[in-house]
Amino acid sequence: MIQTGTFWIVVAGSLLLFWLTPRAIRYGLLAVVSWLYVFWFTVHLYVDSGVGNAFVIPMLTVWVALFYWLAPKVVANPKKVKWITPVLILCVLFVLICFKYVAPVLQVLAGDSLALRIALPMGISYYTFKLIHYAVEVGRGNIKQRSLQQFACYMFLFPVFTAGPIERYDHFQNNLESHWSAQMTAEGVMRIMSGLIKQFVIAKMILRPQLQSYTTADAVLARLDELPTYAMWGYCILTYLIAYMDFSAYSDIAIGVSRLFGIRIMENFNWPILASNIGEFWKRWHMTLAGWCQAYVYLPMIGLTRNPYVAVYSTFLVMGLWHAGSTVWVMWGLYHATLVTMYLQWLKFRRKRKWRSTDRFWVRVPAIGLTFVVVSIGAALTSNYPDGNGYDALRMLAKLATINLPEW
Amino acid sequence: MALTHDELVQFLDTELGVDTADISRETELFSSGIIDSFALVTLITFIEKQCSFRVSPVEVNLDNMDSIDRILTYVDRKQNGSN
Repeated sequence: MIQTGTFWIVVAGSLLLFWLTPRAIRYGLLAVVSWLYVFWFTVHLYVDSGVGNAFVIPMLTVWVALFYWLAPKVVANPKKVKWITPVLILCVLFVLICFKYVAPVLQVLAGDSLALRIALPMGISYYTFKLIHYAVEVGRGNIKQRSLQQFACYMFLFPVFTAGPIERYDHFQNNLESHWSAQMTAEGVMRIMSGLIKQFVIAKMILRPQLQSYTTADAVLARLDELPTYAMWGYCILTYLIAYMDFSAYSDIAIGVSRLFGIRIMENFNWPILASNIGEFWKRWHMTLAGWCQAYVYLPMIGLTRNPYVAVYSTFLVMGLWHAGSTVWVMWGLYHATLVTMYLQWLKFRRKRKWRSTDRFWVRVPAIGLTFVVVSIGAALTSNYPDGNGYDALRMLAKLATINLPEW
Repeated sequence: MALTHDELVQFLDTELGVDTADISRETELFSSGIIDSFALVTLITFIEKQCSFRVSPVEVNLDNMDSIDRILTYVDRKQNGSN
């Protein structure tokens, strides 16, 4: 979306309109502009290239109306209509599962033509998680000030619609500036510049050329047997860095554009390459997804099972499947779950011996290096998505250990 | 049975190895990494044993468990029947 000139024309046009509009109807206006733009964009994309699903915005409009109307009824009458929150969550999850996980299965069973008819709606993973968050927090009584304008703006806000961050509604409400300020605008412009530099200079002009002829996982797999092991390591590290630059660039631009509208949305990355352990990595990488999963999967699973291992594996399975209904993303989830489990074991071992954590330079630097390497290995697992399969990902992993697995 | 501030602090100190001299009533325990998942499970079990009620899975969240004050507020609310 951000690569199109139309996006920036809509930003410029709606900004002027937004700040000239009285505050009472400002967020309603931004919701309408976002609705119209994202609707136009999704229809245009579908008609021109057959990508996505043209009905995503009308479908989301129905969800927004239902969640806005039904979710608060639990607070008013918790004993009689307690079922509303789980039913809303199950319904929206059912639709996500149909689009995201049934379509890939049908693609295998019935061919491309059927799968195309139920093509994945753009932004569905993001808006589904936002709706679930809204239903749960309204049900818990944590969202008391409700406004249809602000909720619609929160759900449709066009800079964050396709690639997040997965904003929390309470955070959104508490971070709306009532007046235009030069400081917010300057911050917004700086973040947009930072995103553009990450994406077009660092990722595209500096990192991607280092891949040389191995620009895709297919190219790596085609010559995997003769590829030196150090080159495979280089590929993994570059893949991780490019993914980090690209994704954090999208977040920077989303955060920056939102800030131009006086909306300070949540941060999504905090220098994950400087994490000194895998636990810290997940506090720095895709922070809004990790936070959502901690609140709505990990902690309830701890409460349900009293077993941190089950909670960790469940959480990372959800995180893997959230990215895509694909073997490689499930493998990626299980890989990270195993890393976090090992780290939890270490914490348990350390706590039993009453060892305090240390932040000394000679401990922190190798720890950062080790974390960087293990996360890079995970990048190899998903680099062949969506064309590759789990076995191809395993062949790439084996190559890192100088093992050549045969082709399937 | 009730859970007092002193009992909770003593438990954090002796059973979970938390340096309680460094934390306040509002210090984030889980989200700051002061206590890990295993310690959280031990803490939930302690609350249940001490207060004679069951902590349900949906009540295991940061609003209820992430600081000394939040835990005491949660226990108080639960025991007074408003939750």
